Amino acid sequence: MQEFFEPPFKLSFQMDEILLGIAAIVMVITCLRLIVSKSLTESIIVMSVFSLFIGICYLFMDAPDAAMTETALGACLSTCVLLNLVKIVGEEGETPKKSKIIFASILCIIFIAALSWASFDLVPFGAEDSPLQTHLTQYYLENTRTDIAIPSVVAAILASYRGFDTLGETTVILIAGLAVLVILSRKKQPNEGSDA
Amino acid sequence: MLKEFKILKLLLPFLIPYIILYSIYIQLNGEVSPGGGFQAGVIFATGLIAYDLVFGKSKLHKHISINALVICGALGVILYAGTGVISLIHDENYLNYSAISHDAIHGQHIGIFLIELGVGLTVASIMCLIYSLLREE
Repeated sequence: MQEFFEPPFKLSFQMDEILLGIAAIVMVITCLRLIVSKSLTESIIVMSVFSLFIGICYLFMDAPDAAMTETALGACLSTCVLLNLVKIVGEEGETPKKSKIIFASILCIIFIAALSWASFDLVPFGAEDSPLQTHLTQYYLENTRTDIAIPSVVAAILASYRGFDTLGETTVILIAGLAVLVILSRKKQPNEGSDA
Repeated sequence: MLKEFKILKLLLPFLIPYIILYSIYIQLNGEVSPGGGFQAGVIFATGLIAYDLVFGKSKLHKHISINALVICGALGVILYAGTGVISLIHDENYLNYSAISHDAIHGQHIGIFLIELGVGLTVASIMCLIYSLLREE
């Protein structure tokens, strides 16, 4: 049990927390850069950088699965799709009115304040005795080795203990793809009809 | 958009095999290392999309039709659901992989491998499908 789930090594003098702080500061700077970006292409690239730094944060928080997903999906794949969309939509968007900008920024500030206020009630990061970790997590950690016998507990939970959930997720991805196909092909048909 | 960059054009044919190899590595080592079917599928799709993005002219579209992508995506879900049906035949609960083999742990390993394969197939084809639908015609 011990050799199975012990992390291979741990940095001394809490290097990971310092790096996490640096990554968080870079994310805030990236957000500020996003506000002043002028063209659509620029904002897409900045959003991609933001995703990359969230992935790095996940890595420092010992969640390599989430980091891999965030980097592949958020930083790489959605950037490619959005860059292709820019070619269709055009580089310059409409500039919104000033009153709209002020209203939107007030909403954003209220939202940030509410979320920050709510975050004081969160359990501390990595707390072992929080209600979240004491019931099911305990069971998974103790029984994965005897029931399933694979080293990755995350894969064991996703694929075996929670097989139904993953089946639902896979079906949702298929349905989402088919929905995009249906919407875009319906849009195209009347255009082709008017051309001919 | 990226068609004019000659360095990218020269480098990418060298890089894409490694991206696809990495996705296959993650797919096969899902139960040992971080990642799994979903991550493998996304990285595989990223390799194909990078090829299409740099070389343009809907080359991906020529080789892989939209029908093939939809069929691959559905096949992945069928593989997943079919793995559950195997355990139903053996008088066990749905998606209880212990019934697949005589040894319960061996059955779990086979079941997890099969469903990860299904997830990877679905995710890779659906990501390619969404990209090729939204690209400039």
